[in-house]
Amino acid sequence: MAASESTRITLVSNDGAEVHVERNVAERSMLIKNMMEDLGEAAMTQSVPIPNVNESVLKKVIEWCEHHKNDPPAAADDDSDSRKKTTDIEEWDQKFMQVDQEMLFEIILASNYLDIKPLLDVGCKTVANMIKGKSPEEIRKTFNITNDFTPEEEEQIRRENEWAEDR
Amino acid sequence: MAPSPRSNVRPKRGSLQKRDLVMAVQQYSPSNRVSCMSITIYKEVTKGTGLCNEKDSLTSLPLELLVMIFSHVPLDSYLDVVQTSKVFREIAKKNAARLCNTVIVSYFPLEFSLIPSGMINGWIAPTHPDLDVLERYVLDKKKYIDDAMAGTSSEQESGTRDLQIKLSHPGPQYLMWLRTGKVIVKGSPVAKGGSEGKVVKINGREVVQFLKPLNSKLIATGQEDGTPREVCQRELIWYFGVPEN
Repeated sequence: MAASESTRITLVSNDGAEVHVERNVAERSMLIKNMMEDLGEAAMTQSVPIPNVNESVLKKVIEWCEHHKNDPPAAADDDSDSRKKTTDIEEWDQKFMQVDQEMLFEIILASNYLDIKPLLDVGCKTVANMIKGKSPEEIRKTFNITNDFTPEEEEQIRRENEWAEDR
Repeated sequence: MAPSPRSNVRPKRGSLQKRDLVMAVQQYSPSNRVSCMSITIYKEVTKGTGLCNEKDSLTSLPLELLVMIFSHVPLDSYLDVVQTSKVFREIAKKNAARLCNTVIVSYFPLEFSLIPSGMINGWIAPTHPDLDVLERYVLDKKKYIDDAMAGTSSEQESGTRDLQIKLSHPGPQYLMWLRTGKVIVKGSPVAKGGSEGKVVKINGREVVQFLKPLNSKLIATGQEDGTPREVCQRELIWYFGVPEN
């Protein structure tokens, strides 16, 4: 194992919790990776603040990074991948994402902030899967969304559905 | 100034979080001087202390993330999404081009690199020179949904609207076609099976057949005698809407 891989760094969540993690795991986050490069050796002796992410979410994100630390970088010209269904998610990631909605959206926001594109992708796909195949009413119920359409707009919706009822 | 001690006050839902702020203050005085003052605010924090505190977390996500999520939603679910709330309707309509372009570039890189295309009113659309000829050929044969980008019907015949959607026009139809179609590269088939509605050849003389299957399900007929309309693909309704009759 390379020396840099075994080096541990300390991340500090926005609620003040210290999370110790291997540097190569933390560097799944492009934000942290860039910070490490900017800080140089100083990064090894100082805590790295993660001001937008709380402890529980940070630990969850680190858990994902641990599991995926050896993943090869995504190939831009991977044709077979591009033809995969957009909502396909690996089994481990599916289980990882079996969390309550609040945590799911926190993971999405954190992965966006920390710039962890594969995790962001998994999060977005998970939400997309929750939408897939559901009626508007079921989507509202799933995400606790208020129906704010006027009666006239509801009529328009009814007509749209009438047109599209035979898929 | 800090509020009076609250040790005997227990918030029901969360706890009080103290924040010290320094803010610029424009004084109401003839000099109009700007000065700074230090203030302390106490904010009740509920369960979450992270980035997401709204009750309806999905709607409260940043626009770019919502667009990213919608770009993973299958095309035939878009109609359901835009019928969920006004917010989603607005987001999907106002970002329709961005949404479709994102999906095209991300999930159809081969097609995107092989099929000559360009940006038309913000939408990625195929620009192959043969396209116009082929579209005319197909569209002359039948009556299809009108050019929906114009939003109005200019041609009516026998009480039936002449509705047309062109693949080369701005709209989600190109994405729909990519999602339902296959691309066959001359000499090395990428996809097996039928080629209806697909690019048949890429290299050499490129032949494109697409509009017949795309439009054949969008014909509005039988309105006067009360017979039901033919199937209309919801993949296109989410954007083009239901034509007035």
